[in-house]
Amino acid sequence: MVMIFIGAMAVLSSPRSISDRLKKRYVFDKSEFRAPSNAIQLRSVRIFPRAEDEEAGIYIGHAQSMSADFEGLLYVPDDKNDEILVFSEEGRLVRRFGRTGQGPGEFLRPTGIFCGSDYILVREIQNRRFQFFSLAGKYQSGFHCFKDYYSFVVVGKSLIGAPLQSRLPEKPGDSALIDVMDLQGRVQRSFGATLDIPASNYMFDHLLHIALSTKNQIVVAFQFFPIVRLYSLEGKLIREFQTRSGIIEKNALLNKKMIKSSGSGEQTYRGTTAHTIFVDADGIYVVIADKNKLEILLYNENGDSKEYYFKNLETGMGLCWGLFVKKSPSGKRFFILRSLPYPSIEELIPYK
Amino acid sequence: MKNRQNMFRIAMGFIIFIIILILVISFQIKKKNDVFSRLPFFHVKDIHSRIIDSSKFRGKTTFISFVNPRSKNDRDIFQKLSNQFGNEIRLVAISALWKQDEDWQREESWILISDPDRDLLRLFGASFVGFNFAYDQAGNLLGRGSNQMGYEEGPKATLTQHLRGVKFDKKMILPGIGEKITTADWLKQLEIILGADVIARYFVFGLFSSICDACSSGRTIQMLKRLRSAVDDRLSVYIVLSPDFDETDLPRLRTQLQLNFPCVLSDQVLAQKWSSLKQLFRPRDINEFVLLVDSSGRILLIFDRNGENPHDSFYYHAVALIANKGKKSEK
Repeated sequence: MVMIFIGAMAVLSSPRSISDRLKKRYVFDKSEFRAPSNAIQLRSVRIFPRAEDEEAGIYIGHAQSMSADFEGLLYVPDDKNDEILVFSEEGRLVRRFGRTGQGPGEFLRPTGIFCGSDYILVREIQNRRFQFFSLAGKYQSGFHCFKDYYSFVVVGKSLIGAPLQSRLPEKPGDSALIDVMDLQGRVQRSFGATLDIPASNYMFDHLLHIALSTKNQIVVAFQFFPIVRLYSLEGKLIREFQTRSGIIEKNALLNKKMIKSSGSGEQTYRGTTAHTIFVDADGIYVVIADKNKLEILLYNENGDSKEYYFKNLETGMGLCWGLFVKKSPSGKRFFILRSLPYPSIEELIPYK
Repeated sequence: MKNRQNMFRIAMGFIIFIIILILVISFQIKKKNDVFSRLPFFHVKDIHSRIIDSSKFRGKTTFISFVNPRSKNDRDIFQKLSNQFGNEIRLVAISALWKQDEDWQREESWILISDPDRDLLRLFGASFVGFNFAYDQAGNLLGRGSNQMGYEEGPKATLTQHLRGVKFDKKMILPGIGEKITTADWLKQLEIILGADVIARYFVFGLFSSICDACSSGRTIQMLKRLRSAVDDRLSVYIVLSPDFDETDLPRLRTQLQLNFPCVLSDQVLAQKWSSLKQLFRPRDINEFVLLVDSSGRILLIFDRNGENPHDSFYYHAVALIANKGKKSEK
């Protein structure tokens, strides 16, 4: 008896990864997420470009990312029209650059963008390139890229990219989450263990969203799993924590139902757990939306929930691929890139 | 007894109802399919107030696209079609947003139709701007797609096949199984590589006219890696890459995809072959062929990503072929 008891205790107390525990919790947790009492509702200030601007040629054909420079100008790569649109916070089109093509400064489906201190870096899907531009849109340099780095940041002389995680187990490079490259795209090291969930259990290939904290830590959020990780630049895992929200819980219930109905024990995960992330001195913002609600969760770097913002939606936001948070004396202003009812940026502020 | 009869009648009635329901639904589906498979009839005015009757489109291959006049990509598709097929094709652009779009109006042969209430969009069953449709001379649908994928991946192959009568066949780039690679002049580079490697008895050549598809699926590269590790140094693996890339790309390719075999740029002859095929076919048609070749240059196996279950099939066949031939030679 004593041996059995000791054995059971050993099993229970054995160190398991947080992902392991969360995996179980994510699927089987029955507790309901309750919005905190200090939940802050957001209201829309403006949407730009406006629908009527389209006639003047000011519109976003389709976009999957957004980045802001130090002045707060918002850069949106339009992957339908192969150009970069630059908007002021007030929604005015400041400039646009790029055209369809394969030459320097031209684009074929630019989908990713990162604003540095005096440059912007654009990634194109079809030309498989990274291109550096000045903030004014002047081409500087470029190089080919052979992996699907949907999310990337630049730190000093390093380009840090998070490749698309394939649901196909045969996909190469699945053993690491992050590649650290020089500014010519040559990989110097890779790190970050993937979640120990069979990739084939996902319904789709999934993205990782990465951002850089004020302490130069790499923040990674999984698109289909409610986990955020912080890594040092050298690749050491500093912290991992779970995100919780109403939408995540709702999707967890759906997962549970699917598992129940299939009866096969196969776990198939559905529902986005992070559409995009943004990091500033206040912490890590995680954006999640479904057709009824937008949620912005703010965590500090220890993984403690700090603030919870939400907005009830009538038409849904579609995919929210970009967030920029601007602090002003009157409070925070949230700029969200949304795809419904048409690709646009919406400015949201808290209700007073 | 009466109850049984009633039950029987109810059951029969229910079965007949279900049959009628199925017939009605299938009729509706057929009707819907007819709408989508034939050029729909419409009678509208173009932006110059000239009457456009779609029934008069018959007799000429027609490309109809719901465009945003401000979209450079949409216009680019029209320009490339115009350049490639000239008067052989009727180009029709429909939009709710025509204004002073001089770029479009400069091309006088293009038909520009205004669709402010999006009636035509609904008629064609297109869910949003960016859809295109190609019809043959008899008004039969040749293909439909989205402008977002652009000209290269969109209407190019469909219309080339229809108007030029050429369909892509892998024999355009590769000799068949059992033939020597030297039978294709443009594969001389492979023969030189083969002659320089004195250790290997088998060679796998991955021909990548573009690396895009190889990366996005990632499976072909992985298959080559598996092959390399499954078979000992009797096998050499090489990737031959299109000249769209340059020498500086090779270390990027090797480090990002963690390649443990050589990767070289194609020579001028192979590059020219790829380039000529690119004019006619989609990039994906001519990309990612893998050959298993013996040391005499005879092709033993071909991997074609458009084939059925190509990756596993090629891998297992290649391993088995090399093992069997090895045993035979030992005997």
